[in-house]
Amino acid sequence: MTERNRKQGMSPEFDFFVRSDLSRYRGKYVAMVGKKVVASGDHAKKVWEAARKKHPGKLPTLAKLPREEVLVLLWR
Amino acid sequence: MEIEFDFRAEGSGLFGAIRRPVARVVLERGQVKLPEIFYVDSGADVTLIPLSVGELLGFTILRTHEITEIKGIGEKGVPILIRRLKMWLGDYGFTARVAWCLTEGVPPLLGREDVFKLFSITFERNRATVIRTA
Repeated sequence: MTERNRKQGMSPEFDFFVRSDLSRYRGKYVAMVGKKVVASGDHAKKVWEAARKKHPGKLPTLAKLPREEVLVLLWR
Repeated sequence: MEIEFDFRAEGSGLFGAIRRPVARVVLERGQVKLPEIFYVDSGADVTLIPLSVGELLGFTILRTHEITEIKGIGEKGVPILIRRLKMWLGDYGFTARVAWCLTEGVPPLLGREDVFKLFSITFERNRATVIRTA
C-alpha cells in the first residue's frame, strides 16, 4: 500500500501533540481538545475530569510528557 | 488496516532534540473510553500505564501479592500489577495485558506482549510509525 492510501492516525489532538512544543508540561499530564491543551497536572484522573468539565460532550486526548529519557522496560 | 503516526520531536538531556515514535491508542474499560498517547517501545516487553491512568480506568488493587516488579536497564524495579484492557488502534480493537505501574514516574509505553503479534509495525526513517494488521 502506498503512503497516499494509508489512513493517518492523526486526530486533531494527535496532530497538535506531535507538532507543538509542550516542554513546559514535562513530567505532567495534559488533556487536549482540538489543537489546545485544556487541562494539565500531576494526576491523570483529575486532568481528565477537568477537561471533561470544561468541554462536556468532547472526548479529550490524554498524554504524559516524559521528564527526560523514556525507559526501556523488561518484564522479570 | 494500515495506520500511520508521525514521530514527535522532544528534548533529550543526552542528545538534544530527539524524535520519538508515538501512537494514539483508545483505552476502553466499562463506560470509560480514553484516547491516550503512547510511546511505541519495541524494547518494552509489555505495555505500561502509570498509576493515575489505571485509577482513571477504574483499576483497583485486590491482592497485594499480585504486585510484581519490572526493571529498566540499570534501573531499580518498578512495582506493577498485570491487568487486561481493551484497546483500539484506529478501527482495530483487541485485548492486551498491560502493566499497571504503581508509580507515576513513567509515560505510557506501547510494548510488545499481546500487541506486536497482531500487527506489523515499521519505523520509517525516524519520521513515522506504520502499523498494519495484515
